Amino acid sequence: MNEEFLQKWQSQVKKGTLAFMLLNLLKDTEMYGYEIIDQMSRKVAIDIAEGTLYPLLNRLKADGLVDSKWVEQPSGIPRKYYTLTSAGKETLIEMSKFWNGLDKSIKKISK
Amino acid sequence: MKLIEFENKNTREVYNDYIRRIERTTKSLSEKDREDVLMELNSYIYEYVQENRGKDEMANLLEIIKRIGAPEEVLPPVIADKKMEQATRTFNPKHVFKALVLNITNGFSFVIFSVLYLLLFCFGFLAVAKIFFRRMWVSSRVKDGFIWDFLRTLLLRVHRIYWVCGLYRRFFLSLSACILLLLF
Repeated sequence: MNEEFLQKWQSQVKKGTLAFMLLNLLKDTEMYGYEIIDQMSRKVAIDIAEGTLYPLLNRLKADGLVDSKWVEQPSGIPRKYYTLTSAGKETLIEMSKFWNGLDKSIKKISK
Repeated sequence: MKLIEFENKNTREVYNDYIRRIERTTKSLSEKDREDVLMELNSYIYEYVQENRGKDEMANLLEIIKRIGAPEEVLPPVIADKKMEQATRTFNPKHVFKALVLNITNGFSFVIFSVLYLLLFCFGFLAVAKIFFRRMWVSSRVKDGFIWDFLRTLLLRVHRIYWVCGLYRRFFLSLSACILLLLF
């Protein structure tokens, strides 16, 4: 087995599906940055760095897929909560369809 | 923005230095966008430090700074996005130029739009110049001097490029394309 190739491929797949995972995570609830990182780590065992998440969330916001709001905290340092917009929800449905189709196709050829 | 309080003086210095780097990197943004970036990165630092309370303060800070990355490397795409949003919101040529420069590597449409936007300004410049420098435009002996000669040559050359390329006729096409692209 080529370990190096496998690691590169895994890293590319994770990178390519990060937005999909993120939108799925925000599907039913609003979350702030650190919470997203924590949930990613717990649910999909992916350690996403703040330096990766922050530009991605900004991109998704610029594309109109997520929205954000500042929520004051007792500490005086507010948290920025992200939610899915209606365009984000529609996009996620299409992404899920594509993902499921891809999954089926891969299963077919790998039988 | 409320700054995070650290007990150790050295930790405070590292933290302040990092905040200053963020401020320096985001100085081309509007005050509101700049504050937004600062507050969000500050929030990441605070949440990480809080989550790892009990561990060494400096180690925590250095770890989260490492996780966020150097502002000079992490922030350019964020700045480009925010600048473009500001440009489309205000239509201020200064912001439009800055946004185009920052986004020129983000796709072919930005290159096309930059060229069209430049053509639009050249046309505006020539139209005004032709009115105010009419005498200088037609005669080479109006005034002596390096600046006048240079200006006249420049005007005539730009004018010739426009004329040869038929750009005057295509101006309205360019203008329409600019407006369409901006709206898009």
